[in-house]
Amino acid sequence: MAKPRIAFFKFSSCAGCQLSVLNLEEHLLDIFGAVDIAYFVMAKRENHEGPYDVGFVEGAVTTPREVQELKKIREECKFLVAMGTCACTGGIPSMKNFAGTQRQMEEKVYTELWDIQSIPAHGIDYYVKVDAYLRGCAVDLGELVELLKSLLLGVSPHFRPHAVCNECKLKENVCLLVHKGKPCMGSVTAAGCGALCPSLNRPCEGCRGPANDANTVSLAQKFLELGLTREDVRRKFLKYAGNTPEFRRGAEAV
Amino acid sequence: MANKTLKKDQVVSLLNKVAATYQLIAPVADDSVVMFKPLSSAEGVVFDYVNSVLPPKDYFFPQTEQMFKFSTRNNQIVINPPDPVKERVLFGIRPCDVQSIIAMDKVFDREYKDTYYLDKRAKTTIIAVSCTEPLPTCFCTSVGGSPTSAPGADLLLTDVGDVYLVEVLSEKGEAFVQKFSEFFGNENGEGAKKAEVEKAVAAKFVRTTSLEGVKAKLDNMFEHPYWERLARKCLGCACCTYVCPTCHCFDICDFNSNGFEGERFRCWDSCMFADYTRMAGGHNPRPTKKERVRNRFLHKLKYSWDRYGLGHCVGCGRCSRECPVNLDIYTVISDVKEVDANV
Amino acid sequence: MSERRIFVDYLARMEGDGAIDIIIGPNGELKKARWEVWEPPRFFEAFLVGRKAEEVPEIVQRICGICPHAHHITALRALERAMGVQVSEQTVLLRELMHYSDWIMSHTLHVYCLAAPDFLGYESVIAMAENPELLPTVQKALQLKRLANDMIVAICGHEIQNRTSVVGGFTAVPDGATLRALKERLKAAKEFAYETVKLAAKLASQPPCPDLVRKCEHVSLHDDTKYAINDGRLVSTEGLNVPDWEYPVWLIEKHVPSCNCKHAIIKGRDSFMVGPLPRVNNNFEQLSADAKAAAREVGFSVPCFNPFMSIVARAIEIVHSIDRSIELIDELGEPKYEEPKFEYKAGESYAITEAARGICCHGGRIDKDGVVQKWDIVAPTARNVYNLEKDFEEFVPKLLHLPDDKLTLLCEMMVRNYDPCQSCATHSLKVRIRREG
Repeated sequence: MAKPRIAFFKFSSCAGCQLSVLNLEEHLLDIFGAVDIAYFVMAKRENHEGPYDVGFVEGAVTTPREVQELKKIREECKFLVAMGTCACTGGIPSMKNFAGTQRQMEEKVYTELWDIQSIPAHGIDYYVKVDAYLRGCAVDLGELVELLKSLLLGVSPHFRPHAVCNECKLKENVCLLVHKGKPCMGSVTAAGCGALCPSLNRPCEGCRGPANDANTVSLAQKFLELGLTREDVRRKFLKYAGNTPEFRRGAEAV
Repeated sequence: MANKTLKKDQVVSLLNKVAATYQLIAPVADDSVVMFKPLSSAEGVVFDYVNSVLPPKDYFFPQTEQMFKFSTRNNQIVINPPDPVKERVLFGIRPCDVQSIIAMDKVFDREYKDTYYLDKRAKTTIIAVSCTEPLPTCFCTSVGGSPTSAPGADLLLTDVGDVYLVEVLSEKGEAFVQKFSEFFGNENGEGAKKAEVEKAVAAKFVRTTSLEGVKAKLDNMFEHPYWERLARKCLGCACCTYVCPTCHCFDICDFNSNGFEGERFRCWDSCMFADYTRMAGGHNPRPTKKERVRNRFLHKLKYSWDRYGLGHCVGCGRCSRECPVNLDIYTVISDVKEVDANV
Repeated sequence: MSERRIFVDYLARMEGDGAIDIIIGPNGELKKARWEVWEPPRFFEAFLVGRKAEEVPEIVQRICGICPHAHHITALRALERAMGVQVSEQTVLLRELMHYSDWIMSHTLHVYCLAAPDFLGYESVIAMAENPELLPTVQKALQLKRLANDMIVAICGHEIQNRTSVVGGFTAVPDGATLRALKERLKAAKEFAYETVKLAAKLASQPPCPDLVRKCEHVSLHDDTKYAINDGRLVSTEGLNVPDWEYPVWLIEKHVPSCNCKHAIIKGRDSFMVGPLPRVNNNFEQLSADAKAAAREVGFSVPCFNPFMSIVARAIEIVHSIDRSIELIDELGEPKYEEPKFEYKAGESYAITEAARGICCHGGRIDKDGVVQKWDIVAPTARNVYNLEKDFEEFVPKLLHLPDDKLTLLCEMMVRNYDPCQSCATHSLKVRIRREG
């Protein structure tokens, strides 16, 4: 069997999810042996044209040029993966969508606006069909390996759409929301990170986007009871995944 | 079998000796969190706790449990059973959690014998300890339990001052007492002291209701709007099912480590998840939160009676303590008694 | 003779996309020498306005996946200055250790995965690993990188985006045993770090690199008492010496047409360079004894104005980072959890830390409720873009005798000298050489 051709692409993002691939040090040489990395600008000088078997896309789409590139990538890749929160839901770049008009954003940062071509930031599935999502800011290395392995084996990966709370409970952490009164978003945020932040005594900020069937409206009410202001609640829900209907509902609930 | 006594200052020595031959599982505290852990000695075991965050059901029905290992090298499929379980002593479990194990026995020991569960069950000696300080969320007495009796355990210890009264409740318990006979004395009036303890503890319960009439009412409440009300609040996080000592749903998956070797495992699942009842074709008989919330409460308070003749809520209060939005099964019991079933 | 153009669309082996576009006229004159950074803007400075103070360090670390800790710590320091928050000695030490871990990770990544393939004639580290002679080196480099990542995970919970560090301190601290285990691994890694310095010196001595010297102003933080990483005064080889919070006065930005990022100059003077080479030039005395010894052994002397020596400076800093991390672990002993505390207070301030690739500047103004009114961010790569173009202008005319592929590679190397991180500024490098006529 020929090695599958893999490509990594980057849109508006911090490059941290691509770096995560290089952070798989102990698996890296195995991965290089098992797949043909045909396109990975961050790591290679010789990059090859498509078609590819699997394309990983990091970053949100924020310019018309990126929209065109993304559509071309979709045509070139048999299997397309949204890699990381930015590609899944718009992530950090999507914060600008809720902070004012595009013009206002541009005026705050640049003096000459004629050359700026920016559109509201969205995850890649706003424009093209996506075959798999690697959530998280940045992606979880375990899930990344799981996906690569599943693709090689031709089986579907074990990604469970449940809330972070489950993983937190399994670790027997003290609940930050219930017992410490901290505004933790774990109950509405998709698991897979191993409840990383709550395990480190830090409330979940929702970087992995909404869990299956998230009841953000009820959580927003709970946040108010904890003493958060309406603005605080808005800020919480419009950070990593404000583009999703679930988190948008949470932001607008109070 | 006659009651025995165990001096409090002897417990640590006993557990150390137990740990030398058995796998000892006992409650330890990490900050304020009490957890049941496998231990190599009695160091760190806590005695003055009310209950653990997670029930000890993990030791019969683990979060993740290997079912078998497989390898497919050289065109041969080889299946190996999981590593065998050692004989174990589970010390310090509370009466409500003992009751939950009885409830789980009914599930795993039916027409289909779940060997994974039953093997662990057979190899475990359960030493329960009576509660003397219930939490405000505890309500075992409301659902037919008692903080000071533990039918189904092998031994029950009750703090009656300087000594524990040891009630020997099974042959396994008897064998244990004989094996470690140097630690156990004969009862001398401690039984009467226990009656006083019992009375004192019973008076400390804040939550008192009963299940009287609840099941009969629930029989006619399947389509009641009450469930809709609960569902609006529920976050669907499934914490309740993970901390519940009688929840026993699981999923089965394969883990393939390198394409040739791997294992099949099962892990906890939850009826609160949207994809729990979703079928391969996409149909979901419990499409919204309302159906899922309803299922959970009906399962605890009605279906379990229908199927097994006992309740699946043991009144431990864990779901009441851990629910982020205070959806409380005790309140549900009280509400069900109040609402008009014919609405 | 026609116009010659060097154009590299999506320059490889760097963090992000940029383009090099160089046009050489028929008589060998340079008509254009641009490093075009087309990374789309993400408007951090705009959407941070209206956010809460404690969100700033969480959000700005996501500017860049390679130097998140620099952005994060800089923002923390600026905020803590603005709100008058005092942090404990332990927090200061942990932040320093966290940042040195990042340096080791980033420098190792750069030396072995991004830069070395150029010098050794490979297209990538993947190709290097296919050579059995180089495989052990690649494996050791990956081990060192993993060690640095393990340090980051121990302190921050995650390789890339930190989970524990917040305004006022840490939500969780690593335990002493974990740190001591890392210390043993660091000690064992020293030998490979020495080898790295030797390898880097050998690579940088390949012609024509040693002849490509261009004197320019080298800017870094400086502290008389220790090698400056998280704080210090802003100094330069031309005598700049001011408090770091004054950077908005001294380091000025201008917007450049056709490029979404801003180009930087020093007030009243010209372009300048930031990064490991300026740091080693300005702070040689503060390096660890072994790092200095390693530098002397390979004949590295300061001041050095050959940008191709950056790889050597980076390797020297790996040795120093390991030494300093070991010291920090000893000083930290058995870290104890301290609850991070602070109160909102209106204020304005600025701060600098040294990212692996140069000074990282943050600062702004917050109101009495802790809401951000203004936030300024200047990443190291943005400081270097203009200086890099000056390198092109100086060096390309000297290299016109080379065929296009060699010249293109050297132009790419001139960019990689800066270890640019264009998410910070912008990404994607295109080199295009065109001869006219």
